[in-house]
Amino acid sequence: MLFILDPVIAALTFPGVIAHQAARQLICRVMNIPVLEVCYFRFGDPSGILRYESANDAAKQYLICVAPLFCYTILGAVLGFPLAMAFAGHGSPQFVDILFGWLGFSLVMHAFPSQEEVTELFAWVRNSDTSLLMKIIGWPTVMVFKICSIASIYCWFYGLFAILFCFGLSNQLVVFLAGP
Amino acid sequence: MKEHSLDKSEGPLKAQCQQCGASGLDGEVMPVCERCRLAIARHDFPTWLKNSAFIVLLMAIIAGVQSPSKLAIAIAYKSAQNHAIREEWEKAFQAYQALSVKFPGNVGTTLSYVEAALHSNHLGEASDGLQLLSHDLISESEGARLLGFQEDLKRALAIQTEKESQR
Repeated sequence: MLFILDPVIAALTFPGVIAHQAARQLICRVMNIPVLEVCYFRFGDPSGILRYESANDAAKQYLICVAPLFCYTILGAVLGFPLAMAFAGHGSPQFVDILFGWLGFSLVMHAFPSQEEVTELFAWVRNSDTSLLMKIIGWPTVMVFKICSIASIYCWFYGLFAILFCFGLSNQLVVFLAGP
Repeated sequence: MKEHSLDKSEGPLKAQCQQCGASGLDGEVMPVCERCRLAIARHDFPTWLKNSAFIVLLMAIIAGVQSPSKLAIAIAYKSAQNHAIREEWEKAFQAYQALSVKFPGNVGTTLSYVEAALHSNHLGEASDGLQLLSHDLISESEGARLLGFQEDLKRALAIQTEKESQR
């Protein structure tokens, strides 16, 4: 059912799809990895395409996978904060709060690396030429991404992750700071 | 959403750059020289994307700037709710009074303020609050709460009048 809904969800959260491609394009640019094809958004599956030359070391591939997730999670939490505060407080958010919340949610939801990127990182961490440090960091990261990917098939994990980081944590912060 | 990095088997490595024909490849997957590689890698972002990124950053800054005040308000609400749950009505009344001044048009806040005022025996304030609400468009559940409070207020005022007449 969720597979059928994928293009619809992608269309509803299109800023995240565009940001997903743009972030990786930016990383490729910073690390001098040629980008062969970019499609920021389209109706269909996949909803965005970025073809780039293979990264020539594990650290670069690691960065391609992790950096957008890290940055967009923080950005999404900041953007989702006003909406989370409105619900934690008076319960009647303004239009701007909803707009910010939707944008934050979209960014975080699409921040996870794709299957192909995780598979490539997996190949790098298994490679005998990869440094021990990168293997130590890379293995658990790959495992986490694989588990998240499987979870997303059964329980819409990326959406739940976005709700948690955009709204859930800040809501809990209010509960904590308000005291018993 | 999915990306595809270039498969190593996609293009055979040749001695010449496939972009400009220069020799001296650096051994990367794509058969282009360093100069062309940099040129491809530095492919510019479209203007609409740059503008959108700027707007998103601006929105994030606005959200960030608003955060401390919004957090303070949310904590005040939560604190008031906690007082009401614990039936510390005088504290709840004071907390909701401050909030209803900040958000005079908020039905939920005013209803909670009226409830706290009724329980803490601030009948005048409860009556003022109810008068503010009666002209607003409110939902069915809020309407039911409002009616309940109006009844409570009538009863409380009757008891108060009776006590005063006994004196």
